[in-house]
Amino acid sequence: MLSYEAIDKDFGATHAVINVTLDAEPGVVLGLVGENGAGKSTLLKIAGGIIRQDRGKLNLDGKPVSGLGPAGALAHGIVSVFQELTLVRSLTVAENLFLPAPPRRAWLSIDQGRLEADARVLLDHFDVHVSPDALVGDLPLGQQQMVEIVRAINRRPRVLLLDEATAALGAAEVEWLKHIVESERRRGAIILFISHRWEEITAFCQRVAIMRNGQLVTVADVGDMSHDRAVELMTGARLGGVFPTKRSPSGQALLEAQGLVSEVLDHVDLRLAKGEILGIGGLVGQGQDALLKSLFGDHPLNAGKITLAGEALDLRSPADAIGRRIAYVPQERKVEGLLLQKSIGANLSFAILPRISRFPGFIDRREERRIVSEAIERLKVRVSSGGQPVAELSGGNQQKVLLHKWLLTEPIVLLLNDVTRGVDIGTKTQIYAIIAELAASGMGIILYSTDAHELVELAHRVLVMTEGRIRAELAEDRLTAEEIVRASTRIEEANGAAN
Amino acid sequence: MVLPTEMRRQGTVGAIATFLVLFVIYLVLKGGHFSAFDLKTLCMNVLPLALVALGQFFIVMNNGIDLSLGPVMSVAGAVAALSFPTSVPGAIILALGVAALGGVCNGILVVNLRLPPILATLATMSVFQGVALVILPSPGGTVPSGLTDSLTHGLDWASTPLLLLVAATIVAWWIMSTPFGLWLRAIGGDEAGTLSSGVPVRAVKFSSYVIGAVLAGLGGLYLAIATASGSPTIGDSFILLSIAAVVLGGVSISGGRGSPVGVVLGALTLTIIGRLLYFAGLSSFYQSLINGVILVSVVGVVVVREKLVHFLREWRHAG
Amino acid sequence: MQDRFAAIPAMRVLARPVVLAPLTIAAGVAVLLVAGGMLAPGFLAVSNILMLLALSAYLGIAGIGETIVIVTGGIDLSIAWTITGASIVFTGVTQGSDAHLLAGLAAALAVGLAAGLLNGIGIAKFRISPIVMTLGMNNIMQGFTLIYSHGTPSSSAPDSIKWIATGWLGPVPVIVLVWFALGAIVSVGLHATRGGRYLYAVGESPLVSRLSGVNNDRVIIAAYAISGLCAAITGILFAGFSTMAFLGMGDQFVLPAIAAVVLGGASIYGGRGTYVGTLVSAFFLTVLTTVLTIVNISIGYRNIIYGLVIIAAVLLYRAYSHERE
Repeated sequence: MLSYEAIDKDFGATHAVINVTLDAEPGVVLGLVGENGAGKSTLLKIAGGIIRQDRGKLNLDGKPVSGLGPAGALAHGIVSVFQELTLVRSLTVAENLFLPAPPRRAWLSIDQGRLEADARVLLDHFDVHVSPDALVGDLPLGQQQMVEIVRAINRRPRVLLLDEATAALGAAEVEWLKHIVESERRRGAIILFISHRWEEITAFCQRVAIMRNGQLVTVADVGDMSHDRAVELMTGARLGGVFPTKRSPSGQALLEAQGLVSEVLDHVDLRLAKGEILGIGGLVGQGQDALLKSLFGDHPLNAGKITLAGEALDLRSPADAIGRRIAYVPQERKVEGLLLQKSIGANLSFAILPRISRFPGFIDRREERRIVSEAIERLKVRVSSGGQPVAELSGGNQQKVLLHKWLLTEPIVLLLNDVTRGVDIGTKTQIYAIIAELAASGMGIILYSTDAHELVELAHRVLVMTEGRIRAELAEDRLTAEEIVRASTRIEEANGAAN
Repeated sequence: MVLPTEMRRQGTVGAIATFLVLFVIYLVLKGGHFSAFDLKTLCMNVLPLALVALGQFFIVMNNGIDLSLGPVMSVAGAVAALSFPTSVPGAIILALGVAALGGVCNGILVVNLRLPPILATLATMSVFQGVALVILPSPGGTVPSGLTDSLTHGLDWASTPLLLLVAATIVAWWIMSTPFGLWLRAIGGDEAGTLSSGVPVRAVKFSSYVIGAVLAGLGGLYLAIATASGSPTIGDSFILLSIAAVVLGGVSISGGRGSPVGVVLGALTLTIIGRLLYFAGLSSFYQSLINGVILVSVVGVVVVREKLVHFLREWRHAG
Repeated sequence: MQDRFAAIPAMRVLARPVVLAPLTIAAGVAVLLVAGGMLAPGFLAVSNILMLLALSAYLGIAGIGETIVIVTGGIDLSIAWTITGASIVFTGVTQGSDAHLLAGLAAALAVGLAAGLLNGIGIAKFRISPIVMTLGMNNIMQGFTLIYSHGTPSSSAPDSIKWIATGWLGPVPVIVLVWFALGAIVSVGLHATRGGRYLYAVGESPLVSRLSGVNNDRVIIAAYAISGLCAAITGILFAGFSTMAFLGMGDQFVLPAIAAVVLGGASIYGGRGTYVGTLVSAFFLTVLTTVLTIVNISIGYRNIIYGLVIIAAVLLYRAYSHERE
């Protein structure tokens, strides 16, 4: 049995796991559900040895297994499968499957023949139709995920941790995984399963643990838990930030996209009016990222037209988009948004340097300081000065700095990519207020969020995307969290995957 | 067809193509004559570079680089030249041992102390250059003539240099065919993913620096024997040449992709250019120029091809 | 918790590598000067120190380009033969006479600029790694130089350049003034201009830079172009110093230039560094070599000490910045 005893983990900005005590028994698949940031992933990462808890004990069959590191966890039979793959893309499927110990010949060379044959046997056993000598990097994401799963199962795990392992899988492949999980269960493995698709929870799991804001709300048999009740417990009296009142947009057309086609997008159309907050929803990885980036010149389009205030746009780079007063706030603030080694002030002014420089490139320091201190005022962040390194700020404050960096470019269209992810409640409220204010002043805002509630409360309209297309457009009384979730999972219904 | 696919993946096809083109030109310029003597001379000339390039190969494959391999050659050769009078096998062992020690230093700096490889080996390059100069301030030492003879002659079409070259290639190829080789490629491809797969990443990286240094030591040893003397600075030109040979061999500079055969072909390519110029009547001045152009073109051609494909696609869409 | 006001702001600033490194190196210089003073009478005389500075100028100017390139996350291994090439072209065109001075300068600078632009284009547009591209360019420049000079560069430098390299303007060597002037321009460029900010951004995160609207390619090409120009300037001036240009004269600058940049506190991965650090380190390395020569240590031991100093400095900087965390 895998037991979490009074486990606590605090990341500073977010108290990810609060005093959770949970047991997982062999032969019972335990599902973990909860909204973004509820703490499910963190719990799995603690078991997988990737994160060490601040307080509490983690035991496997009575033995402590805390802080082992990924290799150590593996040695104890704890195998993790995440949404992010750990396969080496430049190696073949067979090589990945048997890393680190491939079959060898007498003189130490790898037995290529047996490697391939063993791989083929393994793949056939699991009914995966992938060539053993294909390069992992050449495979579509779904097949990569399947190989990763096969590798995990081949390790004969004592504990199998699946965190959104179905994210890249289509309906048929999800069915495939169900059989695998079922046979692992019968083998007596301890299985934890995270998914935000309720049908999967009911299909895969016998028990389900519901988490909210880092705490364990309840554990119940799947048969005794309805979707609605689960949603109620997941959301509850949400401290999810206070939402400002919505004002109706002016109706004047601002941004229009027609027939966008790319590697990821499948004939996407959208309209954005002045003062409108257009939400984009759907499961992660359905093309929302690509859509936003294509409106910013950062995603190559094979076909389609984008017009801004009637004028056709040819966006070849972010610089073009910025020139047209389109701004994009990226998802990964540390990797795509901020220069962590630089100061708050330097980050704030980075996108508007052309505006505050005089020939031949000298930055008007006084003007910069003025703009920066004004922005810091508006940010309502306690900083020692604009010169403080931005890396020292909390996640929420970093997000505010990032947002303001782009607001300083005075955009007429603002593209927001999941801007409240990993941000504390207080900051979320502030950001919501800013978004509403901006819309009220006439800015067009496209807001992609993985948080259905956010979309419902903030957006005037929501477009739900699946597989690169707009699946549904929700507005007014059809704009509810349930409708969003339903539209996000509609592809499953269309393919008739049984529960 | 596993072999061609594998070769294409490891970039060897490009290395073969480049070498063949130049070899054909070379043959043409020589009027079609290619004797056993020519083969032997070619192998003699390429052997030191091939060895040190193979050493560099193991390091580049896990996304490292070693600027100190040239001086390691000098030190090994100097140690050998000074020790031969005492004992021939002893000298060889000592020379290779010292080379391995150099590799251990690099390994400690890069793996244990986590210094960036380019910095660590920049510093050790200087240190090893110094060591070479300290133990042998000017070219000298003694090399038993019998040794020189045996390593530079041998049977006509199976001369010792050729055999040594083939042996080195086979050994390197064998290493890459073992799990160690797989781990090396994995680390170069995705170090983080490899760590979570249970591969002993640190041990593998450390070993690669030691293997590299030993191979460089072998190259320096051969140089000393073939030239019948030790020289403290002879390895300096090999610092950058070894990197060039590796790149020409189709190895990705960030690692994960490449084969020893390609590297040896890369070394051969560089060596052939020199002979080619001689037979074309062009001064040797053109050698570095051509080396540079070829080096850049071989790597740049990837992007040229991409752009060509992209351009053609656009053109077809518009038309 | 993380928004606390800094406890002692001054101490935090001090412990940053870009500040700590030049200070450490400066301390090292002081130690070396004192040691030199004990070993050789007159070592600590102002005129001698100025001479040492003059000697450091060439490495210092070569270090300007290298600093800029390393800040963008790259490296320039081609300065060896760009220096030599520009120098030989310079003496070849001027033929030792000031009458052709401008033509000579133009030609030499053109050589450096061409090398730099080609480097930049290869790295930015063709995605060739900086090590490979600049290595190749080094070879190309070597070939170009050999062909141009037929293997035997003959002419000497004109008097004006000789004066700049060896002359004094009152109490100060002219070359030191030239060096510091160039250094000041670079420092201002790096810290006070838009281009400077872009250089650091491209080095720290090309992704953030591009998403913020910066044309990364242009920044990279400019960085290598400047490095090429600096190499050319170094070559021109060094010809004045040694009165003639000779083959291989640039080789002695490459690795010490890189060492100077790193000792100065820059990160080899890019995104961090100052020219002040490089300047102080160039002086330090030159004084180190000089002192070691005085002590009559053979070149072998000098090389060993050189390498150990680099390792020690880098480890020291790392230890300090980790302690701060």
